[in-house]
Amino acid sequence: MNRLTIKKSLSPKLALAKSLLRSVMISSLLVLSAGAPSVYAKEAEPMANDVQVEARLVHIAEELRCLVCQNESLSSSHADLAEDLRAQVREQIVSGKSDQEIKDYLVERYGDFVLYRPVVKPMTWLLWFGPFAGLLIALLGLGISIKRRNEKIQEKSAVLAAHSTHSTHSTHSDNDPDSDQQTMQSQDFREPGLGEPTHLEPDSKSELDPQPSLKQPISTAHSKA
Amino acid sequence: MKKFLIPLLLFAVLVLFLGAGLKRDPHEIPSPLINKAAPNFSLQTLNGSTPFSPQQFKGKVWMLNVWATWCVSCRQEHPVLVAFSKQIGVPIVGLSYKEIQPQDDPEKKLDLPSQLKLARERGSVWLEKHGNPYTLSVMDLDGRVGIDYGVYGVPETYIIDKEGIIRFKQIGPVTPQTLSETMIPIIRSLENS
Repeated sequence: MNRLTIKKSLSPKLALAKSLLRSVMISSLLVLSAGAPSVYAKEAEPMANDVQVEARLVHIAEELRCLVCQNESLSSSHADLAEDLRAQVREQIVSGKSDQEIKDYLVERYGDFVLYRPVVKPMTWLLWFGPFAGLLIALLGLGISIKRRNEKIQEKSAVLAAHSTHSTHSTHSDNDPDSDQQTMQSQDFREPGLGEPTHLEPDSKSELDPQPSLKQPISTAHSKA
Repeated sequence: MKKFLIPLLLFAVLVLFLGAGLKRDPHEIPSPLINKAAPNFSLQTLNGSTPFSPQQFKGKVWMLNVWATWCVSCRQEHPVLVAFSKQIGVPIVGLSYKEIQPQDDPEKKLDLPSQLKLARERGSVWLEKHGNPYTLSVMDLDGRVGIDYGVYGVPETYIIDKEGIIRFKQIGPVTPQTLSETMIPIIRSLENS
């Protein structure tokens, strides 16, 4: 019964608090009388207490999930059960329990599900750290692929440079024994720079008879790289 | 080909997770009380003069079924319980959950004895009309025992073993299927252990 009276009289009390605040401000501004505020202050004492309880209730209940309408917090839900649970929380606040104790009380009965902020424990590691781990892995993968690509570019341009100075090394095609993928990548890379990618493919043919006309497109590709 | 393998794999994993998510009922919250001791209580019964406490069933397997006359799903569940009560073969305790709803008593005029009286009247009439599968029914007027048991909807049903430990919780109405395929086998195995 006591709970109900607190709840019912809360909004009039808030209104009272507002008007009280205003009157205190006005009275202090005008320096009317010293008696008036102290008269109000006596009445304000228990109200301040209730407001504290309510504030703590809201603070706790915002972190808790309503079991019935699961997307609402316990503080905003109008479900009967939410009402009952708020009453329980209020009672426990008044009896001096800590926030953690109150949360534990509800977790004991309804499970971790009532907590909007899941507890960090081995079972929830994936939930908490999974996204960061995923990001890390993705960044690592990106770094590695960029590094590989740069290496390949350098390698190719070294080979091309060797070609342009007519020095004959036939090792380049042995350097990358695997695969379509790498060739695809290097093609991708070259295509925008060059009209005829076939000229750039360092195949044995071009080595066997180095054409003078080869020089021109190679050097442009080199500068573009 | 290799290029598509990783995204394809990721997609498959995603589909698996989403697919599993579709099949689960978000309203069924796993109870933390499974395999824990059933919370104790002492409540007035529907028609007896002495209060009931779960300790009285120590050494027995029993069922606790949360019900109310205002509960719509209970009307669907109730005939099933009545029909199966013999097959279930263990005591079924009804927990009459918050029989007096806020709208029944908007002015909060009823004191506890008159609330109890009204709830008993209503419950008895209802059970007479729909049949009574319960060994006894206890009156949880303020829903405190319900909170202790983690009740967040009516009906809910618990199976409690000989040591007073909750072994199973059914959220929502029991159906002939869940009874014969899940609950009765659990009861039998608990009885034999």
